[in-house]
Amino acid sequence: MLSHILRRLLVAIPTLILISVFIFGLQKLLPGDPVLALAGEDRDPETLNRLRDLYGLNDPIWVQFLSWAKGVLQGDLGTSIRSGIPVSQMIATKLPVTLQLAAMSMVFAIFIGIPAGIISAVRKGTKLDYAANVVALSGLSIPNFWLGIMLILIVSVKFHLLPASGYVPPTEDFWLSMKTMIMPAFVLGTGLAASLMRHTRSSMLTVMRQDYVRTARAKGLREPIVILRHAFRNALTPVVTLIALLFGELIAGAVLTEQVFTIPGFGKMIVDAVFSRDYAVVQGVVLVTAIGFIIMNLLADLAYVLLNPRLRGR
Amino acid sequence: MTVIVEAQDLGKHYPVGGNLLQKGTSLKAVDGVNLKVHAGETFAIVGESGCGKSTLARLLMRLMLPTSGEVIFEGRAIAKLKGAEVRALRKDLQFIFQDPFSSLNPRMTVAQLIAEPLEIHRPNLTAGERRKEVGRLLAEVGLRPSHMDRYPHEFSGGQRQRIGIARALASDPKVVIADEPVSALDVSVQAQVVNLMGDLCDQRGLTLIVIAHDLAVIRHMSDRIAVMYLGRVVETGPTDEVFANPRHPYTRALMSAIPVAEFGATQSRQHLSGEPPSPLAPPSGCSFRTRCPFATEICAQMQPVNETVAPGTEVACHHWRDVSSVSLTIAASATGRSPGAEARFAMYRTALANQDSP
Repeated sequence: MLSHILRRLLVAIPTLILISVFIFGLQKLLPGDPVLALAGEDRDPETLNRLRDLYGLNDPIWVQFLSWAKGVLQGDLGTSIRSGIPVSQMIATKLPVTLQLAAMSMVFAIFIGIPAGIISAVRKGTKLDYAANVVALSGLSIPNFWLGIMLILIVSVKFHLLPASGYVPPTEDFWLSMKTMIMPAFVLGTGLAASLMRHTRSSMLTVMRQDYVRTARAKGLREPIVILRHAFRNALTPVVTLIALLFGELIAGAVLTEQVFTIPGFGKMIVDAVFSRDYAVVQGVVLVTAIGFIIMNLLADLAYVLLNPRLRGR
Repeated sequence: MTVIVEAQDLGKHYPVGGNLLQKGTSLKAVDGVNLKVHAGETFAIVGESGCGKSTLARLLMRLMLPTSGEVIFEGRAIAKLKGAEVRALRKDLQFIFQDPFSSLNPRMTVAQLIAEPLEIHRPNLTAGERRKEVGRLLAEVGLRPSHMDRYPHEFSGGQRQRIGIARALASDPKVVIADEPVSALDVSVQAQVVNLMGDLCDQRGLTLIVIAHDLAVIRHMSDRIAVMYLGRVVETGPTDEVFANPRHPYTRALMSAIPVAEFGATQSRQHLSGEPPSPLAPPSGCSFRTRCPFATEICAQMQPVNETVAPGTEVACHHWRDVSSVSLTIAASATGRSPGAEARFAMYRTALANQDSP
């Protein structure tokens, strides 16, 4: 087991290198550079060149990459050209915000999507199933930003139930933090709940046809036990993969929602960094996101082993 | 002999095709089946694939509800049972499934799988007593109790079928229905499992209903037999009687298809031509008439009713008297052997006799 984890982590290293090279190259393909973005209206070619020399932007691209990579290996992700703040420090302040949002959305998604999937699989072909499918499709097709704006309008502006936007760290005021985060988490969660529901449903439908489910019924077990203990546990595998992938996506993909609710998260930071050609910040964020993805996938694999005894001892 | 399970005019029809405007036809998987199974006997249901054997088994077990007719278990119609009564029925009526690989939940240990029926049907056992009971059941079916914490994938097919049997026995049932219990197993393992089931029936006084297509297995195990064709029972009777004097032309064809294991043996085969007709559009009258060498006009017009032709033997055929009069000799010995071979066999027999006598 331990060797399996170690092997997976070793395989992750070339992945990370490849991603870094790729993103570095892509950034250089973009027109403009951070110095241009910094200089604004007053563009004295002499000054621009001096600034480029200062940040090493006149060096060949591979020298730039290697000097960045050297820093990373020493635990230094570089400094934002725009703000002068170390990238690691920026990430350290923004990441918890996004992680909190991602985790809360996932809780919504799981508690809505999985039960809905089970119910519509068990009651396949009934009105309940169709209703759940309609709701799920709506969840998938309604854009997050629109749902966010509507919720702000109704819940915050009209009824003053929850704060409309902003962010409060849970360490500062736990309940206020929950209150500000619950709407964006719900908005993000509904979209995920829809795909979770569809996956749970199809996986449950496959498993419910299996012989051992019939065996469980023949034993005289109550139907809820047949469904939860015998069918659902076997149907979980693809659902767990999906949860891991969705969570990885949430780390980088909550841009629109963060924008609507003005949450100072990771997504917003990436967009700002790309626009200002803040190379070090983009590189750092991509690296952290990639690591997040790899960790989530590894966790999903470990969850398989816990869920499936046939994989144990390998 | 008391009747423990009885099917009365049992039918399972599936609607097929059809849409909003048009009514579809119905597939008659099981059609008007009457059976009486006596307590303590081993009753076999035999027929080719697609004849409705498994559907019948599921109806008897109430894993499915019939579209017509009724199943009576110990004097009660099981279709009318509700909730808790159905679970109580599961205690007395258990099922052994065909496929030992897919019918055990891969996520549960053998101990958990076998303990589950105990949890439901004998709730006053403590966890320790349950484990003890699981061990006893495993030993009873010839497995090591020390293996109870393993998962199903760690066992072979035969062992898994033994686990399935132990699971079925856990609730101490009165009737066990086995749907093709050995057909998924290797031939060498089949005999072991068949013998195990026979022993368990004797020891526990179980009533066993076996569904099978393997006539050798049936003959070995069962006391009485019902032959099915296209959803209907065409002949019922004591196994020895049916094997010795098959009266329905279909039964005859089945029996004559059993290979005889003797050198040079020839037998008059009654060949069946063609495939069984589609159950979607069964022939009029007797459903076997399209393949029956004895068929006449009456077979197309009237569905034959069950007639008692000998004590305990019922046949559904208009012409059973004519069928019986044509001899179906199983010429097992002598014919077809060359004189040389006959001489060698004679020498072999004397050698065997000499070996035994001194």
